Amino acid sequence: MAPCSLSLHTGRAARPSVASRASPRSLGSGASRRALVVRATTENTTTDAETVTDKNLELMRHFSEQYAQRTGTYFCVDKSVTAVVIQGLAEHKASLGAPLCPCRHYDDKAAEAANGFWNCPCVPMRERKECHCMLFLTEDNDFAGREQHITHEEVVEGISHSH
Amino acid sequence: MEIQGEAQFEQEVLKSDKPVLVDFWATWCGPCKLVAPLMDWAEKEYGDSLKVVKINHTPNPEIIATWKVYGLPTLMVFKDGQLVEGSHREGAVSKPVLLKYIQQHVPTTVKV
Repeated sequence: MAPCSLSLHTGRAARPSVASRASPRSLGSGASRRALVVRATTENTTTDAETVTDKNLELMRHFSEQYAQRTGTYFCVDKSVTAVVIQGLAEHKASLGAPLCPCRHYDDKAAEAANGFWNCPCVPMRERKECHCMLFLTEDNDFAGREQHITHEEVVEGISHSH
Repeated sequence: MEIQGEAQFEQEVLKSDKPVLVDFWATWCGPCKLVAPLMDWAEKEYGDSLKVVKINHTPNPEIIATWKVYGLPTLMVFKDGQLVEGSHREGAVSKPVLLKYIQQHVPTTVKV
């Protein structure tokens, strides 16, 4: 669906609209036909939803780097795995207000987000460094790389092949 | 093969005349992305003796609830309409691990 915004126009209404149902008579005799029209227009701008997701993507990317360094864990040798998880976390952060783990099924996502157990970093990760999303990998994990950094470009590249 | 809905699950998995390896996945699940090409490999490698299907958890909540799928990816093997005991496995697998998994749960599988 194309992004749209509401714009306020005054003056002669070019065409009938829902907002301008008042008859000319109600505007007073002799009054020029000026009507306040609120009209939806489509503009080629980033939607609020996309902005929120972009901001959360950066938030989760930065969090992932910091948390990996703090816990002595590493990103997957295949960084597209890391990127995909970061995107999943960002989407949940945007939609639910919390970075719910994207590698699980939930009967009620909102309830799970409110509960917190599976909000990243989830309890298994915090208690035992167990991240089944493969976002934070211990050194001895077969899939662990040696990096604790991932750039915004790497995230974008990693998720671009996952649509 | 991607399947959706209980009717298709019944037809393609439960009524299959050969064993079926099922891969439950999610869109933004990193390990699922890692496993996906291994499923394609297994499908080619085991030819006619093993069917491989993928199920996205989001549009299939009934299947998920029936088979108690929570962590993703989850692998399962079905044979003669039944879940092969011990084949419910959560998490990513490497190729050697997948090979062992298939040999363990689908012993009749013949490598092409």
